[in-house]
Amino acid sequence: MPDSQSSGKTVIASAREGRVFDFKRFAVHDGPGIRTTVFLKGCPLSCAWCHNPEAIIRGPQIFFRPERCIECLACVDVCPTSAQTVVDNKRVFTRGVCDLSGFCVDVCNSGALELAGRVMSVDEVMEAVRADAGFYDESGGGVTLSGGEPLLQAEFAIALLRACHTAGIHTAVDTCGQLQWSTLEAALPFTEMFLYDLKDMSSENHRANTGVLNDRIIDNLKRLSGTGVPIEIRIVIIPGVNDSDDQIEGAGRFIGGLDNITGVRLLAYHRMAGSKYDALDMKNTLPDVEPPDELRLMAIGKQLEAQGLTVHLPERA
Amino acid sequence: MIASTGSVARERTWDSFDDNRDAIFRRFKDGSYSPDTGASPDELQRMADAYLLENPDQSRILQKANIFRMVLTHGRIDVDPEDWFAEKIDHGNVLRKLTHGARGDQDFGPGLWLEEAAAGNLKSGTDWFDQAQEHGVTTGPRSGLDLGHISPGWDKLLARGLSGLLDDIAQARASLGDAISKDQDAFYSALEIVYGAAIDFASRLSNFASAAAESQPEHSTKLGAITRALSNVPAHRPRTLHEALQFMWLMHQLIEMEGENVRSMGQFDRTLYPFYRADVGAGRITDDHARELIKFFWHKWYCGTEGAANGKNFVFGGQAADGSEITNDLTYLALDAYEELNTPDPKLSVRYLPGSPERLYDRVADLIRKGHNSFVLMNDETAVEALVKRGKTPEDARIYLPIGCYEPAVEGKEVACTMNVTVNLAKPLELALNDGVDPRTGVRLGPATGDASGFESYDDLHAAYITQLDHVLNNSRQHIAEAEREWPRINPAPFISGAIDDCIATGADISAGGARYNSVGFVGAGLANAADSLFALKAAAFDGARFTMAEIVDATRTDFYGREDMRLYLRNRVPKWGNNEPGVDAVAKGVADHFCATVHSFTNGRGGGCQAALFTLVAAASFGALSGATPDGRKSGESLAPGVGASYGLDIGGVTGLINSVSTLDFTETPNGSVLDVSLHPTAVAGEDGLNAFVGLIKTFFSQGGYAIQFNVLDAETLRDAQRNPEQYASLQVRITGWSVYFTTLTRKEQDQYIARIVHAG
Ligand code: SF4
Repeated sequence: MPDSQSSGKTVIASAREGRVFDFKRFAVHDGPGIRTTVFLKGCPLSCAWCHNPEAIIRGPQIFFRPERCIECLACVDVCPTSAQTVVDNKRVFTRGVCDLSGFCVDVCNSGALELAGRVMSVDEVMEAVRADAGFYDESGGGVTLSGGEPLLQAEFAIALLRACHTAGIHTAVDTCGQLQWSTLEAALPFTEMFLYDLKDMSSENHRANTGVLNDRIIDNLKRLSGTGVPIEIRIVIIPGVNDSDDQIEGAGRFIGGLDNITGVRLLAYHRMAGSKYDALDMKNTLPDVEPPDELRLMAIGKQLEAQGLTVHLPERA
Repeated sequence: MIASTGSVARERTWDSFDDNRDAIFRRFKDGSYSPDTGASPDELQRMADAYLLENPDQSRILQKANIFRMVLTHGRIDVDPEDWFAEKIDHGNVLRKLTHGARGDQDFGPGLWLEEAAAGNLKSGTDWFDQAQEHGVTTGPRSGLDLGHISPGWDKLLARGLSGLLDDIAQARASLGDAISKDQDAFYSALEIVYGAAIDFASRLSNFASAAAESQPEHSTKLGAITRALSNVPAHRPRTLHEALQFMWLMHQLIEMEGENVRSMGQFDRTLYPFYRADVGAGRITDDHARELIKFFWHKWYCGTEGAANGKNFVFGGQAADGSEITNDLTYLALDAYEELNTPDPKLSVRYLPGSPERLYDRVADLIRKGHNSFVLMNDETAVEALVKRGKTPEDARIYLPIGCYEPAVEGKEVACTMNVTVNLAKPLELALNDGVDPRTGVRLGPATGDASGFESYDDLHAAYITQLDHVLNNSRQHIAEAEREWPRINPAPFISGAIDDCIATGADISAGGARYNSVGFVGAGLANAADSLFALKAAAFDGARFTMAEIVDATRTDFYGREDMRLYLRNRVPKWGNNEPGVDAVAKGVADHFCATVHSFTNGRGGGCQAALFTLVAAASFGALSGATPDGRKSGESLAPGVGASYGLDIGGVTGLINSVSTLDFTETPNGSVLDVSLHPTAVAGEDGLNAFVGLIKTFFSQGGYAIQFNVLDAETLRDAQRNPEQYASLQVRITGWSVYFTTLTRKEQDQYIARIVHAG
């Protein structure tokens, strides 16, 4: 995925501040207890099935949802580059000339324009997550860093983990594993649990669907499993992509050979992120397949259990 | 005696509840009575009218007691042979027609004595409340008189029976001797009349059942049980769980016939545990049978309300007077029965305190996430302290019952009229912006507080708001007190009074303040709209100067016509209550503190205190319909925020933010109750993780000082499907601030509103 919108000045990653695109509070399936999941922007992979397309590039992006727009034209008044203009009596947003000043977002009261990825300091994030400390205490929960790949903003992510650790807040990192080992190693002292995404055991398939081979991901997972930190494996089941019996069997065999695995969480692929691709003017790459049905998921779960693994099926309504 | 009941009980054949539930429901509803059994409702009415004509000078309590006896002696009766419980009498609402008239869900019109007072001594107060109601300022019962959110002392009744109360009356008379006043004498005589009548009435039912058993031998098991039970209760202490339940059901029906609304059936697992234990110990009952019996029992409540009206409350868990935790085997057995029953009535509340079993949290959370959302979860630490602060002893406070919805009242000792008035907390702001005049009707409702466009500071605005709010509170207080002083002439209630301490000891009816605790409830509704609007003005017109006061006031008068940009700014750009935002949270707390402190400075017309609550029930919608656009960006006519929570769709900080905000309020200052409504998506509470998180959420709400909380766990798709296919979802229940209803019985508009709220929760 070309990083077209991230100019040097918009990519921020330091030990003091980073780019955060969302908080999910009362997150209950991202590690133990009630958690706040903090989503950091940027990802080394570009999975076709990504349901957080705003997570892929590191710089900020603007969501535009025309159905909310009330045509007040406040954005047009403030836009420094004429990305927001009126053409033939209609308001038009031309991303090509947008310099991501964000001024339009500031004046858009309808929510039609929203910024994905704002710069936050470690202190700001900590203040936001500390608000829910009571919930962590009562439920054995804490904070989960997710993304994107949270450790892509390595210094910032580690600073956050360290701050949580110091504050006595349980930490988890949801990682895709496509990192230098030294980064994972640096996060390790402040991370009490990893949620490790495993997409496909076939390296070629992996490259076709995510843009990279899986060698480093597999290698990092092996090393991580030797460190003693608990790891939950997460597999998004995408019908026709990674759900054949052989693929599942291969994944199960590999995971079975690892240590410190708390279980395998299966996640069901869904197509509900389509509107986000539209709002970002990104090409919708979601595979045109139906979500896996419940019976298939249960069968996959059974297969993995037969290989001696603890399996968590997707939480259904 | 007990041995013989035991041996008979063992012969019972327990046909299943599910085989009988529909037939019982039909017979309860169709109400056809055999003319052989007595006088028709019309004939009863004529007898009552004649009695009043012949005894014009008798005190009202004696008139009422005599008519009570007349109805029970002569009315037509029936016993359903498929049911374990009997109560049926075709009383034609003779007593309610005489006193205070129909309830909301009935249609027999106003009551004679209440209307007489409303047109006489209570005229000015009634007019004031009527006008306030028409303008969405307040809502409440006629003339501001809540005739009791009440529960008799179930312990005392079950321990002594009505004959025990008759003994107490004799003793009280004796100890007064010649010092007895005319009123006391009339009160005791009334009690003697109604208790004698109730005991005789039970005999009538018992004889009816016995005769029916002979003609319908196939039903002899249940009819035999009813025959035996009603030859013992309500006169005497029940001998079995079945008799205890029959006793409570009969008392409930008779108290309601007399004219009070019983709003709690007590601490189920504490009150009934000894009977259950004794039955199990003596081999009279198995757990399966007990569960079936409880289902038959609770079905009666469903028959009465069908999930459409205010249900009756049973409470589980919590503590006894000595502070010990109550939860026991019967708690879980009854919860199992409730799950199998699967109806929205009765309503169950569960009380928690530190030390409540984990199993109780898990079991109740699991029931809620399975769709049994008719539960209110209450925090004893806060609720008890709130009552103690208002002068109750700790022992009495600990046996509070959520009465009605979540308003606490001490069992058998308090006449907590929890709903005398519900005050729209947002309306005084509308008045402050319009110099005391309702912009919709042009009617002056409050004092002139000046042209809002001229307010120079937020303090000016706030002061005007408080002046308008205080005007509503002071008027309410005054008129409620006037109504209470008329109460003995409107609805004396001897039958329940004997079961409320200290009425017998002092010789005073509950209407005359005979209870140990006499309270009046002030409910504040729409806190979110009041706080959000004040804060929006503060942020946009004073601190931020984004708009002028004049601009915003003009825009609210025209429902933001042509000013959608402003409306969206006020709605989306200014922090809102329920998102853990310190600025607006402080404004909300300020409003709540002022409201509670003002209410608590009042005494009522029976010598007791006034108690504050923060919730809405259905007033959120009715007030909203009568309130113009508000500076929080709410449009004219839209619902106010439900309960004590955020406005619909504005708790964007998630459920934890909502709870964090709400727990900034001091709920030890809401002795009359409060509730937070929370909607959760099913996936958020699914699986083991989900249950653990759900319980953690409840515990955090409690440990942060919350009061009561209730949940809906539903996804929008299910609800939309229910709109399309109502018949397939006939049993789908949703809970809306205090009442659990069948979703398909809501209007389309209500359904849409409800879905909008759920979408947001997802
Ligand atoms: S500011 Fe927002 S609402 Fe106004 S025209 Fe621009 S996009 Fe539309």
